[in-house]
Amino acid sequence: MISRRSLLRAMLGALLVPLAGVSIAALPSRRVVRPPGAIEEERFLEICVRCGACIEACFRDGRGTLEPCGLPDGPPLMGTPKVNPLRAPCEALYGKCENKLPCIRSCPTGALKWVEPDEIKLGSVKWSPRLCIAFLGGTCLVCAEVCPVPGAITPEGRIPIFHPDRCVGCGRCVYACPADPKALVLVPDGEVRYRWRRGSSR
Amino acid sequence: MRLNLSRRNFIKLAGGLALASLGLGALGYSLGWFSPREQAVFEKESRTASRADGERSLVSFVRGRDAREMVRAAVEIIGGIEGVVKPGSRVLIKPNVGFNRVEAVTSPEILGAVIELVKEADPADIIVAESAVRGYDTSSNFDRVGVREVARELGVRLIDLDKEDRAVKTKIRGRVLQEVSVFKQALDADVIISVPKLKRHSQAVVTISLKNMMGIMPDDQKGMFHVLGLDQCIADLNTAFKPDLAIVDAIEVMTVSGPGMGKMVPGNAVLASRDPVALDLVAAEYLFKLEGHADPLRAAMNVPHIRLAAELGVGTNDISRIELIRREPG
Repeated sequence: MISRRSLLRAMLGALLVPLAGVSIAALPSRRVVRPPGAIEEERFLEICVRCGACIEACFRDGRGTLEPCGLPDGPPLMGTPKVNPLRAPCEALYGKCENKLPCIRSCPTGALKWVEPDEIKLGSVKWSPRLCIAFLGGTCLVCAEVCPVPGAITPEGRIPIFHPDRCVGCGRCVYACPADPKALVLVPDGEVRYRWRRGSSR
Repeated sequence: MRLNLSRRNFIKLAGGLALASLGLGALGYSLGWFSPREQAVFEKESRTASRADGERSLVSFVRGRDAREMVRAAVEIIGGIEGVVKPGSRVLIKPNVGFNRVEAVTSPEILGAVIELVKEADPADIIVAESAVRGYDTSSNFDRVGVREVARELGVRLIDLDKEDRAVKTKIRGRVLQEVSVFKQALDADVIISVPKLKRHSQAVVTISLKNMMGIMPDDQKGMFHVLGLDQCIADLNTAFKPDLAIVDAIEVMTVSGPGMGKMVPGNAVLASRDPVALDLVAAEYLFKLEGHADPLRAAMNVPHIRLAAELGVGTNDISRIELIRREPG
């Protein structure tokens, strides 16, 4: 028999669980840079099962760029993959990973969708002149030196000029920036995301 | 058991321990347990000094079509490979494979020709080693530009230094750098041969044999160079780790901008010298000439890291002390 008390308790619990779910989803979260082929963010959070297969695949031959989002990125994002150029640049763009994209291939749900490497735009870089060695008068243009995209970083005199529209967001410049703290951050601004379709992971 | 520590016993014990540690220390010293690295560097320094002063620096400039013939002739003119590589020595060949695009790296033909030539001098060991530009995977560069294939064909070990994880801190006597972290392979080598590609460089103006030596250091150390002042650091590094021989690939020259992308101009030349400063000066002059510079020699003299290296006695940038021997096809 269910007592009056336990029934009320159960009803309250049933009310609280979805409420908790909703409030977690409403917690503030950062905009992170997603792996290549990521579908639109709202859908991505629903479809991605946080299995970590893409992260593991990215590290298969040594170092990789992907890592799971943590608490600072926002609770709803926890466990989903993000690009961290401080680990390594995304080699899918002009690098050793070209045409292989193990992250997309390993995704079991279609949260990462097959794309051609030259369609990828993960985001762009943001420059903080006040941290930049070149801007402060030093000899550095390492960002422009390592940038594989023609016209994305052009030196003007001894200072780098960034062109976010050309940038594909590989993160090479962020990785290589010798300033401490780094004068460059990879942000998802200008990213190209994809529409989700059932069974579209390949 | 309980130690009966009377005053006398304590003194005995302490004395015994002191003697034992002294003996162990002496043994360790004689076996070279302490700082064998610093010894290696002092040898390198003395080697540098013995060649920096004295007679004129020979630089060869050979034009032609065939990479193998050009390399051979260029080294022959400056005294032959036997003058540099003694039988039984350990040779480190340092190409520029900083990027993953063919036009930005030392051509595999030139590298292959250098390896073949070095083999003839009968060294004990030849390694081809590189640590690429930060953000580029050295092994993948090897694959993509054809360096791996050349090394395999000629049977020499190809080393991706970034995967070695054996960097050691080394004392040097530079103006800015008193200590530099380099991969152990560079310390262990008896002979270092720098085989750069002739290119423009956004920060160092040009990148030839002196700048190429940055590839024997781990990424963090490379980054520090930009923080501390790149030009002086390149010069400082070369006081202890200058190449014993440098052979410049100037077949396709990257002009106007670099080191990743630039305007490619046919240079059809190979240059060689045992004095990297003199060599870089001559090669830089050639690069500026290809760019159509009004006064290429002056532009070359003004390249900061070449001038600073000369000031530190790495080599000479005094044209009256450089003997340039040209060979044109004919």
